[in-house]
Amino acid sequence: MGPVIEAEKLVKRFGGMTAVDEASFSVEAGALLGVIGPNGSGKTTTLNILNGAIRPDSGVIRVNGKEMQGKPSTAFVEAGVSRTFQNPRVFTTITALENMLVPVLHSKGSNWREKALDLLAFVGLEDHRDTPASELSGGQQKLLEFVRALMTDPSVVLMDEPFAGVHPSVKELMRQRILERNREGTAFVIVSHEIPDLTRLCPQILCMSSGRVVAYGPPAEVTSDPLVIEAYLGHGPSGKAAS
Amino acid sequence: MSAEIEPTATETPVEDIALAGARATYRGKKLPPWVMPVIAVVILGGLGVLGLVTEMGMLTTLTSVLYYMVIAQGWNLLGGYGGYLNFGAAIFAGSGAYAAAWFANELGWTMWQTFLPAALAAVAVSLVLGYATLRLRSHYFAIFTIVFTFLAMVVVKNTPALGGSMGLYAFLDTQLDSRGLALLFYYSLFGFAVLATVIAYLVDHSNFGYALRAISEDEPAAQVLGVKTVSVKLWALVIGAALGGAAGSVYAFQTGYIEPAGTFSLDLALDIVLVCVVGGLATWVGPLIGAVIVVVLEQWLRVFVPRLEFFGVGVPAETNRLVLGILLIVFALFIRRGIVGLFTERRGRRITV
Ligand SMILES: Nc1ncnc2c1ncn2[C@@H]1O[C@H](COP(=O)(O)OP(=O)(O)OP(=O)(O)O)[C@@H](O)[C@H]1O
Ligand SMILES: [Mg+2]
Repeated sequence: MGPVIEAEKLVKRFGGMTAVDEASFSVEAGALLGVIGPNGSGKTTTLNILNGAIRPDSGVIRVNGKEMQGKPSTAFVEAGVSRTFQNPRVFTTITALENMLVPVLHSKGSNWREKALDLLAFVGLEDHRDTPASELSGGQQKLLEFVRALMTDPSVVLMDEPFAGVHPSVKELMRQRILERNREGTAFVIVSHEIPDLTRLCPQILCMSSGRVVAYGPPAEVTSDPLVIEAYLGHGPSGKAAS
Repeated sequence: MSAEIEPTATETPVEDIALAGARATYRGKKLPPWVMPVIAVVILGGLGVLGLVTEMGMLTTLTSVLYYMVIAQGWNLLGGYGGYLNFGAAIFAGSGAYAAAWFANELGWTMWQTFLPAALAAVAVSLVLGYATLRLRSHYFAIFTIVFTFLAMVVVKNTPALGGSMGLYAFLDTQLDSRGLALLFYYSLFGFAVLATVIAYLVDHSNFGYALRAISEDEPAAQVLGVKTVSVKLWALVIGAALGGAAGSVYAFQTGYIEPAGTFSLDLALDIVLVCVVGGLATWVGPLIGAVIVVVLEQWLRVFVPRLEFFGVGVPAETNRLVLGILLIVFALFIRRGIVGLFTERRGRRITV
């Protein structure tokens, strides 16, 4: 199997500032890729590009071999990409179960309800099927977002900060469920500031700094990379010249 | 604060704790599921029976109630569920009325034959409006519907085939006496009100309805999750327009004469918004309750206001609209989920500090 996502020289500018600066990387099928980087280094913007939420100014994105840049986010979903958000964006006026059914509106088939209930049970939310999402706790909303992203049977799930602000035990549940799905072949790209959690979960880590990919490899390698250390400690611009 | 957890040692217990946390139960103010259907059946059933037993004056009022119900149920799909509050209801009812009058005049069709063309005319107009504007966010859309209402009026006014500013007559060639005729209009609208309510119920309980609510709350998120938001909004607009158009055809025959300014009127559009806001936006029973309250209140004001004197000076008849405007503001500020909302659980974003 080839890569699920290939990104070549992605560039995204907001006004004068370059949020993503010629970022290139690929995500293999079934991979578990962690993304780290300081605040404002372009991680969320990269995820936004990878699922069509925003269009890159230049660069190429391929999803399962198909060129996708310029296509609407619904096309990315059809191609097998789904995502969660840095701040949970569950729909608060509908129930947990109804939230699960939103992504499959245009999908053929009829057993969506059953599938949604199975997935809710997968993260222990089965008793909350009829709870309005506004009444769920922050952690429960993160779990709901996670399984909602699985409704379309994606080949890759982009997760923005799944571990932020959740109790260690929920974090552990999330970690185990991600691993479980990953073993069944779903690729994950996980952005997180919780570096110990991430390095334990992901065999590959990518580090961004000022919109650039400054390191990519196994956790031990990445976390000892001088460019990464510099990105986190923030010493001068010398690292940029090197990359 | 976050203590590191050794993954190997505590795998199962940790999961149990987490699942227990996730499962912590929710105790909301929940209504038994049969309450809303019972209210709907009582209102519609009541109207179904009342038509046969009531006197003519009341029958006219109740005909207006039904007319508002049909249009409001249709409007509520995009305006309520989709969160695209707008002032375009008169466009579709008006298109339907004009289509019906035109088919009656030119082809001699009778009322029920014009139902379909009236609905289709409204659908055609809604497609034009929708394609032109549904890429806009909701407040721009709201403003555009006002412009479009005016535009429709101007176009009709300048189209000789539609009677221009003179308007069109819509005669019904029939043996019925005046009460029979009134009952014909009444029960036609009653049928549409039942149909509209069934449609609203189905939308409310479907993935399409959930997607509309998702759009209402966070359209970009809905889109990123795979919802084709423009097409969903367009469908909501089109279904609503078809209902409004069908109701408009009955209106044309009931009044017997339609002219541009009265047909494409923002008064009607505002009334429909008021009906849904008072009853409860994005609820399938709300428009039923709202239509009864708004129409009855309006009729009462129409009779009551002219009798009022204020320090010996007559109160202008327009006070009637002023009162309705105040009612809209009161609901918008203090009773945001309408009457239905008073009895159902609160949902939606909370202000968390
Ligand atoms: N819509 C936008 N308009 C203008 N600037 C933006 C926009 N989105 C992001 N940026 C800017 O782009 C840069 C990268 O932002 P991004 O959200 O991708 O960072 P991040 O790596 O996800 O940061 P964090 O770790 O804080 O979430 C930031 O400087 C941000 O201010
Ligand atoms: Mg971010």
